[in-house]
Amino acid sequence: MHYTLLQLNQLIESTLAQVFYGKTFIVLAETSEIKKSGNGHYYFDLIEKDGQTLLAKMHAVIWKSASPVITNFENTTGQKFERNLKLMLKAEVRFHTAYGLQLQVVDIDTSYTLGQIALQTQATLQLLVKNNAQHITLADGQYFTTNNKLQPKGLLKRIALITAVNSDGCNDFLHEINNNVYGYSYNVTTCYALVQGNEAATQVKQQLHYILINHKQFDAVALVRGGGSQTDFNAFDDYDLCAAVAAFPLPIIAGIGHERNVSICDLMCYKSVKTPTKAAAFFVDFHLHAEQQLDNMYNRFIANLDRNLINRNNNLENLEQDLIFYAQNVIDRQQHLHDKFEIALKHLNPEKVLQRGYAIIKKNNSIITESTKLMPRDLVQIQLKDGIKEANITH
Amino acid sequence: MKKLNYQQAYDALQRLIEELENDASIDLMPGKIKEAMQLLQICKNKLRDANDALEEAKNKSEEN
Repeated sequence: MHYTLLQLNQLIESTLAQVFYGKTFIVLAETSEIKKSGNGHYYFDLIEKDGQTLLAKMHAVIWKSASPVITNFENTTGQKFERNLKLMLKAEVRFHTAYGLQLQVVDIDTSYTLGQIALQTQATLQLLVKNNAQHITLADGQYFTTNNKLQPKGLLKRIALITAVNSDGCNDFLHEINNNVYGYSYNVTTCYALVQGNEAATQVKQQLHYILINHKQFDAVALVRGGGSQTDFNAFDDYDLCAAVAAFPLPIIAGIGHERNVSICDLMCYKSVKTPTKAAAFFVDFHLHAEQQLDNMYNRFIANLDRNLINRNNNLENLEQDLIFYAQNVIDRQQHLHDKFEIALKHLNPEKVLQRGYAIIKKNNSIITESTKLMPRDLVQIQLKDGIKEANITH
Repeated sequence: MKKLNYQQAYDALQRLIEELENDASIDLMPGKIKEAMQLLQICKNKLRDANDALEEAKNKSEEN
């Protein structure tokens, strides 16, 4: 007895149906070789490996009718549905006589993937801190990098814009910065790179390298992507790219379009915003803030100068008053002495003395002040206030 | 009198006043008072120049 292949497959189909029909299984597996058919079905392989050793492999399918599962997965996780993803799937086992055994996926557990991404992100961050201690430190849950600790001097006018050619993100950035309400002008140099897909991290790194070599031509870097899908941000979690961003000597402003998640690149760069438009607005705000600071500084300078001049003027007025006061003092003191001398001299004038009742006695025209100088029978002259009389000394 | 800046003139003026405060010789006083008045004038002129410049800056700032 023999079976035709169809008969054998029908036997397998019915046998498997007895065990698997109507049952769903939660399966942990890795994606491989994904193909999307023209009619909207996703065909791929699911594998399980131990290191490089393949332990299990099975074809899988997500029919077009179940494809919202993929849209939901990508929107929730920010992760493109692609090969090499470790997923937790809800699937049914199907056997088709023409196509063989396959898993028919009906749902993908997004929370499992988010957990995996978080674990992977955490591992990358730990490695970055460990291997780049001179550029990245972790303190109180915050990452401090050479780049986000930069303190730009002057305005950020010469911008190297890393973006995808002709992308909405590029156009949004340029439109916002060239049409800012304050009329500030900027010199933007576009440095094109893929910003999603497997090549993105390498190309962005190459552009950073170019900017680094020519860093004297630029004040800052804008790294933007946007307008595309909300998936495939893997490039911005790339270890090498994030290490380069952390150590970069010019401020990097990232507007890479995450709506839900924060990439490692966002944590390493000078400033992270959600969209290219907001990245452009950052430069305008930075300029506005610098201008306001300058105005404040000028006003403070004027106010200080004003105060300073008032103080000096007051000091000078005080000195002028002191000058007059002390000079007057010296003159007054001297004048007072003169007055005292004058009074003393007046009192000593002999005429004034005679008027008070005193007399001057002279002998031979010499004033006699001592009684021992006079002898009996001496002739003396007595001068009184109104004339002179002669007299003899009797004894 | 050699060309003095504001601070030099101010300090010299202060010194002269201290001398007067400590009873200067009356013979030297006319000379000292004359010198002090010259120093005072230097300070006043420099202060006036600074004030004029400040007023000009304020006016320009208001125009902007």
